[in-house]
Amino acid sequence: MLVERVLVVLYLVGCVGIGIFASRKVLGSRDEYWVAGRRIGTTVNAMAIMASLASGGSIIGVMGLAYSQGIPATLALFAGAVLGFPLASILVARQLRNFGKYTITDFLAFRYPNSVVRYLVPSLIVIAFTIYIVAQLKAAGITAYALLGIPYDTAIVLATLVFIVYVSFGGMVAITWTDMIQGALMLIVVLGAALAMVWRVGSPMELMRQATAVAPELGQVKHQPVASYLGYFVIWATAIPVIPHIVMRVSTARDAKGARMSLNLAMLAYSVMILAAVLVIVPVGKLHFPGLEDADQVFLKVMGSEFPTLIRGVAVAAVLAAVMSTTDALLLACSSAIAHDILGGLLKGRASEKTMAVIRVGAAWVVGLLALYWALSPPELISKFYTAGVGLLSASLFVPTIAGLWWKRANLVGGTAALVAGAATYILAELEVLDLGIAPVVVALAASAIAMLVGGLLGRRESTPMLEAISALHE
Amino acid sequence: MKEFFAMRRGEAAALLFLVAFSTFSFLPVWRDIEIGGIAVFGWLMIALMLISPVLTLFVFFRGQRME
Repeated sequence: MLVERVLVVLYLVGCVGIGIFASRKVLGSRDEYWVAGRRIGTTVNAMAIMASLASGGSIIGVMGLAYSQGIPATLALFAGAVLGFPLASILVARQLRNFGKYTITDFLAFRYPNSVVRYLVPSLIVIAFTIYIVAQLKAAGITAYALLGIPYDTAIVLATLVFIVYVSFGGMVAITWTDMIQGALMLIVVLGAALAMVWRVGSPMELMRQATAVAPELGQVKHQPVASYLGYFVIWATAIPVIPHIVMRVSTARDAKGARMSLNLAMLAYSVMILAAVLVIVPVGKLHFPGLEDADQVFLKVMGSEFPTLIRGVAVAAVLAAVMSTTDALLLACSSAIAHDILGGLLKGRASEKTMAVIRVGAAWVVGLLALYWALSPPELISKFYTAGVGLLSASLFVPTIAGLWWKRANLVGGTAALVAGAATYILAELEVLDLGIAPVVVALAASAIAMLVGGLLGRRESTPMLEAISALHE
Repeated sequence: MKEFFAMRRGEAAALLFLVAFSTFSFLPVWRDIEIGGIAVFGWLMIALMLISPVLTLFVFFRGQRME
């Protein structure tokens, strides 16, 4: 394991180096810290968006899921995210980039100006993303133990300290560059491995034919209820346009055109990577390792059997890159919810730029260390909770955001009601207090839409200046 | 429609198509029929993952040309 460990250590040192290098430029400026000065080019931004979305789940988890649950149901989950990109590109990217602020809270608090929106939105983000970070840390710890033999506790302490350092000091600039490297690494490893395997067999169809002949369940979905994968599809389709770490990336683009193009290219890269993993690497795993007890091992088993040690070491680094590229973006989004949305709102005009810089760095350390403390003894179902956390954000933010940008009747009453109804209904449905036999996110989105409709039609119409301001965002 | 901000026709059509395609894909009938060892539902998801980026890029570039 020496080669793998050396590669991973080099990679971690590189991340810290980028963070420290970036800190010289970003610490004194809000624009630099939160949105990298709004000058990130299209290709770099696309790769960073792809890496932010592609968590450890997208490398280890997608293949493990396809191996154990079959290809169709697995693709349903990831196709939801792919559908979310056109929704984001067409419905929100141009408008939010033109809006010119930093976070989704900035927009919602402008569109529906009251303290419920101003403080409930960041609170939901902090809750959902802290859970998400803990789940990612747990994945990093388990991966490091399984692949490198490093004890779980040591691995997550080390990984957490590394990404807290580069996120807290380097802000969005450090995250963009590390995510770009991490995204490229993931793409090269997964596509390179898939191409090499297809080259040996002749065609992916032949590979699929052989695999489904040995294991017919790989291509089947009939043993699973539709609701089980429809819910995940809807969660991710509606999350992408409003999820804070993707929205912040939209704001880093040079202009609205760059923001939309970045999302489109990220979607293409994400699609190709997921399809290569599921349609090529998983069938090879099924053929060569048909009875794996831990399905999540399939990727590394295949890499270990098909490629030399050095490539396997790069694959291990790619898995850790996937975990870290999502975690760092989540940490920055979470600290922006605390430092910019909540404390920035409370201290408006009363704190110096230097004090705000200290608050920005401090928020990242507080969230990171809290997540670390929790991850040292994580709840067993944390991986399930994080999807529920993303579902909570989709259920509460999707309708107010989309209606706020597109429906002229959307108003303060409707927006606030949609936010609260979406969040409350989702929580009640997830806790099974409200059980309609449909995926919780579908019920919650319907409740949120009804609340918006009733509030919009019965409440007072928005003022002309507000409608003119929203109209200007569409240009 | 005057209650909504205007959306470009190509973008609206692309969105409608993708939502309709997704809805069509989740019809229960596609779970039981298999082609080449994969349920038709699986093929539809693969198609969605390929069509979605290509269509959105096409609409994006078309919009740029028209501007």
